[in-house]
Amino acid sequence: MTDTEIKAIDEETEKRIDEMENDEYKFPDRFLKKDYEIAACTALFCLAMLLIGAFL
Amino acid sequence: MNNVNDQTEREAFFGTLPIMRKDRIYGFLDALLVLSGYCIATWSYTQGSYLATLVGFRQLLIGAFFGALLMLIIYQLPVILSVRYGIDIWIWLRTVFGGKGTVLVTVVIIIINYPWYAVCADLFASSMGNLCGLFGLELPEAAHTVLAILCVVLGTLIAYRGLGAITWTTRVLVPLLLILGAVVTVIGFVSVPFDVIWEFQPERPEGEPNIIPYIMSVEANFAFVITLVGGMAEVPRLCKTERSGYWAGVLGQGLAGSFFVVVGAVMAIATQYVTGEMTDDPTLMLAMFSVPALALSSLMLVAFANIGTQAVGSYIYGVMLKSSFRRADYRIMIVILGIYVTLLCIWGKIVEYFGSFLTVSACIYAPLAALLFTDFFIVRRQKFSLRSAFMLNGHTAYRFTGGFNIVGLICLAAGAAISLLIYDPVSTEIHCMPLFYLTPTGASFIGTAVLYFALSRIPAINRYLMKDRGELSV
Repeated sequence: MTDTEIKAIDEETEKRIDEMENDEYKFPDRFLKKDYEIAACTALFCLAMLLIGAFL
Repeated sequence: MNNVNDQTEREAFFGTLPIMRKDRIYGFLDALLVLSGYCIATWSYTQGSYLATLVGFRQLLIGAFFGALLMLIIYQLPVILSVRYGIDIWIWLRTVFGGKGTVLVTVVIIIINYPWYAVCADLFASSMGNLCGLFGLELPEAAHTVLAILCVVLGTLIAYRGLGAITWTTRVLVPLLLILGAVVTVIGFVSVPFDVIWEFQPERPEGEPNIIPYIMSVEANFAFVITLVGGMAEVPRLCKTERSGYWAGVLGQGLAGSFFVVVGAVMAIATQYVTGEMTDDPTLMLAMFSVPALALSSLMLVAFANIGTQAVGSYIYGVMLKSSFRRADYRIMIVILGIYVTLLCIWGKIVEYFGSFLTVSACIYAPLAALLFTDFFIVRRQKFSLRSAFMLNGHTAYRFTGGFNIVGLICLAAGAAISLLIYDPVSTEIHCMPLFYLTPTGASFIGTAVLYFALSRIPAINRYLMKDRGELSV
C-alpha cells in the first residue's frame, strides 16, 4: 500500500470515529445486564456440572 | 469513485477500518454457522479419541460440553467490544501490549497457531487416501502431500474470494455436517451395545487416582477452545448486535465444536470394541460401521469440512495480520499464510511434532485471554481511546516504551510461567497439585488476571497504563 492509500485509510478511520462520537450514531444493540446474568448463570451451571463430573 | 468505495469496503471487511452499524452483514445464525464451520474439522475427532484415553464416557461428555462452555463464556466476553466498535481485538490489544508489542504477539500467535491448519490438511489427505483405499485404489506416498496441499489451496481460494464465498460455503456445509454428526452418533451407538459406550472406562494403571485424568481431560477441553482467542473477533465484529456476536462464538465452538468432539469419542470407543484398537480417523470408523453409500457421502463431507476450516482460518488470521501489517494487502497475507501451511505440509512431520506446538501455544493463549478480559472489564472499564488504538497522528496513549507495553508483556510471560510451573506437558509431571485442581490453563488465566489487575493498582504503573483517560470519546 502506498503512503497516499494509508493516508486515505487514516482519514476514513478518523471519519468513522467522528461518526461514532456523534450522539446521533446508534451503536449495535448492547449486551444488557440481563445478558451478563444469563452468561454468569450458564457459567455457574457449567462449573457445577464439572464438579459433579469429578465424582462420577 | 467506485474504486475509492471498493477500497474502503475492502479495508473494512478485510482490513482494520471500523465497521459501522449499517455495514454489518451477520445476524446470529450466519455468524453461528461460520464459526461452527471453523470449529468443526477432523481435529475434533482427534480431540475426542484423546479424551477417551483419559476418562469414561459420561465424564467425557461433561468435560467436552460444560468445560468448553465455561471457558468460552468467560474468555469470549471481550468480543462485545469488537461488535460495539466493529474492530478486531488486535486493535484493542495495543492498549495491553503497545503497537510494536502487538505486532510481536501477533506473529508469535500465527507461528504457533497456524500448524493447526497443516494438521487439518494432513487429516484431509489421510481421509481422501482412505477413501481411495476403500475403492481399491492405492495412492503413491507422494499423493498424501499433494492432497494436503490441495486442501490448503482450496481453503485459501475460498478465503481469497471473500466473505460471500465463506458464508455460502458454511451455510451449506455446516448443517450437512451437523446432520452427519447425528447420523454417526446413532451408527456408533447401534453398532455396538449401548452400554459399551455409556459405561466406557479407559484402562488405567491400578491405584491411579481418578481425579488426575479427569482434570487433564478438563484441561484438554479448556486448552482446545482457548486456541480461538487470537481469532475470536474477526467474525463477531461483522455482527449486528453484541448479543449475537458473543453467543455465536460461544455456541459455535461450545456446542457445535464439542458435539463433534463427542462424536469422535463415540467412534473411538466403538472401533476399540470391535477391533481392539482406538482410531481417530473418521473414514476408517465410517467404513467399518456404515452402509457404503452413506459412508461415501459422509466421508466426503468430513473431508471437505477441513477445507471450510482452512477457508475461515485463512480469513481470520489474514485480517489479524492486517491489523499489524497495515501496508500489506489482505490477499497477499492469506497467500503468505497458505505458503506457510504448504511448507509445513511438505515437511510432513507436523503431526509428529504437534505436541510441542500445542505445549507452547497453550501456555500463551490463557494469559493472552486473561489480559484482554482484565484490561477490558476491570482496568479500563470498557473505555479506551479509539484514535490512539488506531495510532492516528497526534494520538500516542498506547505508545508506551518504544512501542512496547512492558507491564502487559511481563504479565504474558508470567502467565505462561504459571502454567509451566504447575504442569509440565512434555514429561506430564504435576509440580503443584493444589493449583493443578484449577487446571494449568485455568490457573494461568486467573493468575495473569490477578497480576495485571494488582500491577494496575500501583500508582506509577497505573499512570503508565492509563495515559488514554484524557482522550476518551466513545
